[in-house]
Amino acid sequence: MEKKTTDNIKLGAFVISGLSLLIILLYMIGKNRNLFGSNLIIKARFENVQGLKSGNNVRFGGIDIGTVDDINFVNDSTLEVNMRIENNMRNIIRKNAIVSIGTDGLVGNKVINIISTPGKSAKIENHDLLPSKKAIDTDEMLRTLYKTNNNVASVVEQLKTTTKRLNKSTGLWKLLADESIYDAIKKTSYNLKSSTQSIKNSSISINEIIQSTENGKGALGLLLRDSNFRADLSTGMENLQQATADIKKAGKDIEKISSNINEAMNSENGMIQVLLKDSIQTNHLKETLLNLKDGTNEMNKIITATQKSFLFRKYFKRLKKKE
Amino acid sequence: MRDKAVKYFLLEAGNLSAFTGKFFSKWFKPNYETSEFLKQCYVIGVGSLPLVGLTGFIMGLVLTMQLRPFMIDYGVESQLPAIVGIAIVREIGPVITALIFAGKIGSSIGAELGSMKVTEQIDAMEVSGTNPFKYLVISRVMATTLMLPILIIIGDAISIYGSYLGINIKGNTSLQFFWSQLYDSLEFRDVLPAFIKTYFFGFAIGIIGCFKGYNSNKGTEGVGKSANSAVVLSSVAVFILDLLAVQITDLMGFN
Repeated sequence: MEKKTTDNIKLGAFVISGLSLLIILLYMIGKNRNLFGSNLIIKARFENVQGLKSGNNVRFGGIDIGTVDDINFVNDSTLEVNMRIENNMRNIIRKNAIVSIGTDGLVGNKVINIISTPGKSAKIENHDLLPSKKAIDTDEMLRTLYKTNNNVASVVEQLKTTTKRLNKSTGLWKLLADESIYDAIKKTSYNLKSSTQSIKNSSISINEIIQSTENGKGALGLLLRDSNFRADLSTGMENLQQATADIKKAGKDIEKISSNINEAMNSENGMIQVLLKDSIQTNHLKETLLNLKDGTNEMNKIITATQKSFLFRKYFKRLKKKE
Repeated sequence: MRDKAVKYFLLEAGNLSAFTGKFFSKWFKPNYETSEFLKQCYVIGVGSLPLVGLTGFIMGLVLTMQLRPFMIDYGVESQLPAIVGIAIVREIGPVITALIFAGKIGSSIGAELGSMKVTEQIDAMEVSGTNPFKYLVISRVMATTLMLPILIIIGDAISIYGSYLGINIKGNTSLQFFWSQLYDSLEFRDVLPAFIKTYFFGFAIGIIGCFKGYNSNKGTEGVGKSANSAVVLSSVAVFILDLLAVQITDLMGFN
């Protein structure tokens, strides 16, 4: 009898543990589906729910706060989505929050996003109808993306060739690396500015000159406007012609003189001829120069010896001191 | 020969159906053998718990470690708790536990009832005024039917704990995060059909074990034969019921 009781206690513990695990399992799932506890129902209307199903998550600020309860047709172009959300959201979500349908990840389940918008508004109540935003159509998005992709591909291709060419040019890189260029450009532009100023000033002066020239003042005005000056110029030109003829004659005389000199050089006995052409004389001259050099060297030695000899040392020391 | 086999198979099926019918007709009638039922519940339920717990734990651990490389290949390593949880709750927990249970309990019921039959204890019981069918069969079948679901729930829990340890061998997941990931992925349609089918598993194992033992003959040789065929038949029955269960839930749109 004693054993039977212990057995039954163990059996009871076994059954209760199993049942409590089952209850925990079911409760946790139910809690995730918002089946227990008080809930808030809010509504939103859409033209197209894009495969949203009851049970899909409802998010506010990225946090799951509830699930889609059911989806009903209001008329042929409007669907009403009922959402069951946590009761404590009553104090958080406002009536101007916007409801939109999104996707969890790129290819995940559909979710409903509730997005709060700035501005004052009352807090939501049960069975409120919130404004909705037209959902982003993935198909349309992908179509646009395809077009964009093609454009980007061609742009990138062109960019690639440009970059290649840029990379090949060494001059550009040198230019970019040289920091003094900036200063130079700055200076240049400064100079350009002052040059422009001077050009402006010059052009004003030129304008003045032209003005006065037109009126016959100054040398240029005289040149352009005075008829007497033209006659003088003509005489001047004639004189110039005469002078040129004289110069030509003088040139001929000079030519004659130089040919005489040439002749003298070619004859054998002249002094110049001897120096230029006679190799024996040249050798003699060389020897003489060498002898002179030797003589100078000998002389140098003698002078050094003299300096070092005790007879003259005192004299040289004194000389140095004077210096 | 083939005719004989077909005839035997049909005869067995008919006898099993009649046995099941007899079970239901006698079940409601008074004179409940409560203390025998509780004793059988203890032997069947509590007695099988260590075995079921061990197999469940190893199953969860191994399944997690086996799935891990492929989940990494597909870049969904983070979904490991969800995948393992769903696999255990929906299919592996119920079926593995039911098979272990069939091996342990099916054979013991078959052998126990078979030896009682061949030693004519059942006949003696009838003479002494106890209804042997009520005392032996109904208490055992009720015990298996009610105990297997509880065993499977506990086995699932141990299995999921094993899976948690398996994830933490190479990764690092807190129990809380594992828990929330698991319950994010689980739904009622995962749990309820799987839970309901376990009653049918338990009933099938109990009724087949009792049928094989109750109709045992040819002496001690028959005892071994009935124990063996009880295990084989109840294991096959578990798979057939599993197939039926998934088809029915699919048809009802719960899958």
